[in-house]
Amino acid sequence: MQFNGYIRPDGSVGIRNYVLIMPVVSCMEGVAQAIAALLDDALVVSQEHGCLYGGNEQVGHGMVGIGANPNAAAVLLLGMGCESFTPSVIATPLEKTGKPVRVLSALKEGGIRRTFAKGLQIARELQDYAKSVQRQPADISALTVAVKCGGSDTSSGLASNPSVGQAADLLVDAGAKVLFSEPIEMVGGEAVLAARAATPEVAEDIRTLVAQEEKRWSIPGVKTEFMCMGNVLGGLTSIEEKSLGSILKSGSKPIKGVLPFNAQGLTKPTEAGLYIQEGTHWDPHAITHFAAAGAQIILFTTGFGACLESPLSPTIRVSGNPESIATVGDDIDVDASGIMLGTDSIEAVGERILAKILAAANGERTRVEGLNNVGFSFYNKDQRLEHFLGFSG
Amino acid sequence: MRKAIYMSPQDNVATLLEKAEAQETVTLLSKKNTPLGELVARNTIPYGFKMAVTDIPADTDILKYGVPIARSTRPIWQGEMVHIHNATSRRMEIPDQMKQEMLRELSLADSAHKGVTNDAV
Repeated sequence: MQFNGYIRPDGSVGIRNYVLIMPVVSCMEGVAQAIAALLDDALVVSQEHGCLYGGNEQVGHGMVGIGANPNAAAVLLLGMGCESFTPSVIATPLEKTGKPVRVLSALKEGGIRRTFAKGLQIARELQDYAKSVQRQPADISALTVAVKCGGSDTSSGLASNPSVGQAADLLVDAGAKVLFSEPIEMVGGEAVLAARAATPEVAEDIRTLVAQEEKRWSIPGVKTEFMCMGNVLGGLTSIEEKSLGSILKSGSKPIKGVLPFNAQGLTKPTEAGLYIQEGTHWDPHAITHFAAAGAQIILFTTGFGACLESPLSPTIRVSGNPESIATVGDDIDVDASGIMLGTDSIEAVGERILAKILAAANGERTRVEGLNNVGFSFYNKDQRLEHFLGFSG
Repeated sequence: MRKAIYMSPQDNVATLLEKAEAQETVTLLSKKNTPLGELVARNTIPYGFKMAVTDIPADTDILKYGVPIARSTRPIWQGEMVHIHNATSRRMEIPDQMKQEMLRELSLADSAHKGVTNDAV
């Protein structure tokens, strides 16, 4: 199976062709937005942390990952000039991808007004470069696809998640890489997942990953949202029930590894197959970290119709709830409700999801692409909390 | 006739594929859509919610997909809705203030209590 994508200097293949404007400190957010507003296909990669190096070093690895994502053609980094976490911390690893990376620091450039003028000029050059890259045939094995659920209800575990799992199996068979995460939504499902681990070491890594996440979200006195109002109003009673439905979207293939994402770095898959990527269940953060791990496309299942879009990696929404299809079906890319009505099969919906992946890879826009992009929200395990919980990662 | 899906032979709950009113008959279907039997709903059970297929004593595993998903917090009777008002996670309980908000939103769960006390059987 083939699609037409943008071949990057490192051999990776983009399905979109964005120029990224990346403020390294949030103080540069405004000028980044002002520059991006005057370009055709630019995204501002915001980070809300202000300065980094405050227990949030992991964010920097996420930013490098976003810049390296094949859907980005080129990157302009903006710093204020007083930060310890300088643009070069991001630029140096990004330059290894071979894609154009440019850096501006406001205090060196003579202030914000001059940074804007020079930044706009550079960004336009980067845009010209991006436009010079033409789509070329590539194999589906060049794709990394991440699977995520949000707004889960009972139909998620019965229809959309198993269908996405079917598509995940087809992708792995075709030589692609598939990522799933949301370790809190593995609580109660560890045995099922460990039984699918490729090796005993991977099984142990899965148990450790889930046990640590359970501890992070079980701190006395802290209101923690691992079951949202919508889940419970949708019929889900417990995290175990949510988990057992959630993990169905990973399909049935062996789990080749648990890829760490922490203050030391972001480990990406290097060969075909199914992987657990360390991360979170909160949708915007999860979508950002999947893009940082290299996913060009995200499959997003929803029960009651929660609808969000990753800015960098087009998001294909699948819902199996007939009521959601009737009300917000206009936003849904693949209708799996026939499974709930007994008129469609998981296999057939899985095939339609795969067809939709290829269409999106060829450039077809998803239903709300560009319309409801979530902000970039960088997943971060606060290193100070990790220390007190006794976790080293 | 309403339908509910019964995911695994070990399960003690089935999931409603359409809303059942109290006293309505519900057909249990296997994952392959084979009819397995009938039950009477004890209370109104919305689409996507679970119904006990047996009597379930207090502090007993609720089984779905063939594995424990929760434990009962009081006796649950065959045909009764099973949800956060009578069952809870064994791993991570929903923080109480959030749970109270959920129960308020689910006036269904409150009404499920009415007439389905232990004395009702």
